[in-house]
Amino acid sequence: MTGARLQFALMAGFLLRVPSLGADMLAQTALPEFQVKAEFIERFTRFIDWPAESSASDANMPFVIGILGHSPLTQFLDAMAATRRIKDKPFVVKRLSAVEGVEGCHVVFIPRSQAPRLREVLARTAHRPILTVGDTEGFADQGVIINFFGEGDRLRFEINEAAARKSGLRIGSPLFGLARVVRAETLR
Amino acid sequence: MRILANLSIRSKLLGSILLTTSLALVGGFSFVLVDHARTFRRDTVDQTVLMARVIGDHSVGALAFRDQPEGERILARLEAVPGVEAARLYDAGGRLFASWTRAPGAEAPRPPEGPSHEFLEGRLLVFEPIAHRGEPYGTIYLAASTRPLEAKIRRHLLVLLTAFALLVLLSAAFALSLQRIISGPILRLAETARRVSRVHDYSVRAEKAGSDEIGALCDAFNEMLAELGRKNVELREKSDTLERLYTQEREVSRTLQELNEMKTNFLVLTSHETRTPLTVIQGYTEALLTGVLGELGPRQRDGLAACQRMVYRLVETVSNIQQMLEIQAGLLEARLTALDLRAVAREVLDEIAPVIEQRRLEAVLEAPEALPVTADKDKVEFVLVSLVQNAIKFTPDGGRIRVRMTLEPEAAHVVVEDTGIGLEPSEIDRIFQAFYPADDSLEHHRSGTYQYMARGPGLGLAIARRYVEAHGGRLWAESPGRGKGSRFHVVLPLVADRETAAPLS
Repeated sequence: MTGARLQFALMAGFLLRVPSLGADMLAQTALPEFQVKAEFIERFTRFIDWPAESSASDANMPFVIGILGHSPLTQFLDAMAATRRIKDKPFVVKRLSAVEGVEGCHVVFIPRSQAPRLREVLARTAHRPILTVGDTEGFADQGVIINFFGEGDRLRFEINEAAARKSGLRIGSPLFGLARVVRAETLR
Repeated sequence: MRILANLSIRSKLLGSILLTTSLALVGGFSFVLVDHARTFRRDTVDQTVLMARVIGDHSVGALAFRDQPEGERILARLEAVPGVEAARLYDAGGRLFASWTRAPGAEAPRPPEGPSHEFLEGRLLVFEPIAHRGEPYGTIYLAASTRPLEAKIRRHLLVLLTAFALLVLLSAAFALSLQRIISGPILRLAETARRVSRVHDYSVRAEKAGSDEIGALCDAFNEMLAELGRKNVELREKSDTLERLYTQEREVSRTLQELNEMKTNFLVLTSHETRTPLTVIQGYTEALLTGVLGELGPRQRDGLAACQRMVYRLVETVSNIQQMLEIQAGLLEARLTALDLRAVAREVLDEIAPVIEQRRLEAVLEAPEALPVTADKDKVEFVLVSLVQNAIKFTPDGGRIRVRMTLEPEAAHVVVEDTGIGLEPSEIDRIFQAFYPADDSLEHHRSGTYQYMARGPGLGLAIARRYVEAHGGRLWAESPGRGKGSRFHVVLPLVADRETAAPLS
């Protein structure tokens, strides 16, 4: 319900204006929902450190964002990939039709429609430095590292700290400051 | 400066020490205060900037994800930081993103480019850019009240002032005891000087405290005392000598007085004792000359006439001596009557005319028609006789004697002028002294051709001067010098004033 209303508002904004580039993009409240999510994903990469042995840290390799199945997110990320960089290098957006390809990605987005394959995806990404992102209620509890959720007309996200820890990614404090944390772990 | 000069050394020392101390303290404390105030200010700036950075770092996520409520929540935490009054977050485009104020306050200015801070109207305004890994996310603005800073500086000033007061008090206490090191010896020296002058004890010595300048002063003072002591002894010796001389002098004086009395007694006795025989001799001489006691031959008559002249002179001398004795005894008295001075002078000249003629002298009287005065006739007559006789006595034969009288406003002025032997300057006053020893040189001059010289200077002039003075007048002599004649002046008040008359003894 909330999602639909938000979507409507975002779509209306999308029709009215062409999204501009840069950090200020989010200042526009009436952006399409998936454009906002695309921007959020780009922001996440800024505050998350991939381990040094990951190809995400290799300056010669592109940063890879995988999208499982079909999602409106793809077009926005594609548009972004044309002009912007992640981790100071170009990035590519891969559409994944099967779960087999997730290991080659640094970020994997699992849309709501792919919920049945979630367990399989998570089994493949577990203990790998792959940021899993979802936008479906309960995904975080099931092991997705960052999961979007709506709060009023605001897009928010939750972080599964245990999953993040297992993945070997280091999630920066600015994200924790904003996120709702599930499965918080006490540091040993 | 005068007031300063009159202050005691103690006050001067105290003042100098306190002034110096105060100046040094004020200078030092001012420096410290200024330095501390600057440090406090810098610390305040540093702390506020640091806080802005921390808050800014915390706000990176909120800015990155445009999470305004989160931004406001972060800023609201400043509530717990005293002094911070307002905070704002601006996004990378300079737009206001979130704000917080402790109380409704002034509008925040536009964020400047880059970091900055400024003090403005009692507030410290800080702008700090927010960045994360080189990516700019916006600017944080913090407004902190400077009241805590000012309070701190004021507290510091208070502490310094208290310290200043305590230190000045302390230095006053020190100065009070230290100044004695200098003023003590001076006061002791002054006390010694006072004791010396009070009891005239020159054996006292100033106690020397050290070999500084005051020590040198003590030495000089002691030397002076020694010198004074020596001089005092000398002075006492001289004084003793003087006293001895004075005693001798007094004895001599007493002897002289006794001699004088003896002289007077002798004169009184001789004049008195001479009087009766002279009267008898005079009576018989006159009787013999008148032929009552029998006719005398011409030779006897001539001899007797010479005797008579000498007797007259002797009577006159004795009379003068008696008169002088009376004057010296203070018995002089003037019997005033109205008389014409010109007439008196005429009479005197007429009486003395035979002698003038005999000496072939020319005597002239120049006087106004009448010269009325109130005076003692006998005494005025005596004065004129004495002066004219004196002129005759010291003027060679054929000389000229002039008696000139003029009337002055209050007095008659008589001048008796002669062309005689004149007077030495040294004689001018001496000739008026009674019983004065005859001058040899005068004797010598007198031994010329003059006939009328046997009498010496005599008492005439001395008595005459006393008489004139008894009338309140003056008598004096003047002469251009030896051989150039002399001039005797008498100034006689028209009405004798016995009150103003000079004492006669």
